[in-house]
Amino acid sequence: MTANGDLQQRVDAAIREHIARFLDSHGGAVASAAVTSDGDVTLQFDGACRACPAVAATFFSKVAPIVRAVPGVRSVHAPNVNVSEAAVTRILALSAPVRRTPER
Amino acid sequence: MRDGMFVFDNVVHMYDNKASNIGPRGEQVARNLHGFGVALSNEQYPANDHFLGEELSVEEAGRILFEESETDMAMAQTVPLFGWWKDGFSPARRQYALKEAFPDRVLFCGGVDPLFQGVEGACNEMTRQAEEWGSVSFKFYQAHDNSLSWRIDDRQIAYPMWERALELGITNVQFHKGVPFGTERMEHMHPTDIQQAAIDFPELTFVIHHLGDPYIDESISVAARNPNVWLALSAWINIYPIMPREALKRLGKALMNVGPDRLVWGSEAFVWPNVQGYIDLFATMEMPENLQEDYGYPQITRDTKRKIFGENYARLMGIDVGQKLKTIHGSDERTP
Repeated sequence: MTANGDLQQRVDAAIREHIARFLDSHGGAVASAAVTSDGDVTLQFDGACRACPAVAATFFSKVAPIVRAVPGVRSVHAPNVNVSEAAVTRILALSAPVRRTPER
Repeated sequence: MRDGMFVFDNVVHMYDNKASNIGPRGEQVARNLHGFGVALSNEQYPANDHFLGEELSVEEAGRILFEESETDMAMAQTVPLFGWWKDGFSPARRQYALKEAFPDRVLFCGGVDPLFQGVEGACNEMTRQAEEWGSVSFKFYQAHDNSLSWRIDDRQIAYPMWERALELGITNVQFHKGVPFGTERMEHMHPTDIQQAAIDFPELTFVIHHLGDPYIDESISVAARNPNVWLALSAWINIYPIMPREALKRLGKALMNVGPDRLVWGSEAFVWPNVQGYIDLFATMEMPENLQEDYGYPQITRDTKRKIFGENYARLMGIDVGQKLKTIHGSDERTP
């Protein structure tokens, strides 16, 4: 097993553990397509995710944080996710955890 | 080359509007086509002023493409509309003539029609155009006058042609979608009939022209979901001088949903002869901040421009760009 192969296995394991069932619930899928020795991960969305209008939201709010949390991963991108920085900022703002203030 | 980017024009047409080539009702349709060009023109980006009643010479085409513009390569595409024109608006023989004049820089795209030539006749003509004239792709126009049409997913009419293309080693076929010239029925110009054929022929790439205007959303959806469906930006850059905002929205939607790897550049010369003007427009084009903000459309990066300008179609055609540039210019001076 090469270092790349080991990292790719850990990336796919994280996807399976945290996100695969959610995507599969509506016919989508994602897996690693390539991992470089520097830890740059390319993902491939498939099934219903391939041309889903919401794939950017899925990627930036759900998938990318999980993959980035895998030790050794430096960056993550998906070729079929093509949106502006403004859209990414909006997605991240919408998906950020809401801090609840205690009721008085 | 434009600023170190390889420029491969996917579609130019060597038209023949001479009276001897005009069929029944063809004169009106030729005028319609010219009128479409005029409607999308201005002083800087004019419509062709010697379009009607003439055919374009090889010399003029070569001058426009290779002396007055930064185009490195072009594909001369046959327009097999045999109802309004006897030998089609852009006859195969004229496209071949351009290729013969510039063999290192022009590729010949043949064209047939199964309704006018019969399925067997169309297949036989595909073989002839490939074997005798070196056709490397084929162009198809499915909608004709009086509701005459055929479908890409028709197993009896169309599939024999896709099988023949593959037998000939030709891996991409191209379709005029949307943009009617006359009284064709719009539903016959709809792009959704590509879907089943694209699934049934995964080794064949299906190219939708004009973003299927007005079926732009449908064309983008079909391409987004099928990796062997590509979009030609033909007649897209040509609307920019008149409708820049609309053009940017169309490109932005295609980039967002299909991505930059399956879009190809097409100038639609010689309906509009200012080929260099359109190259200048795209080379300096940017996605406005408010379209990035409001629609989420991505910036038009240099990498995107490089791919669309030529590297994508070269990849599809199996052309070694570096080697080709050395053959044409003596050196490969591309820059990242």
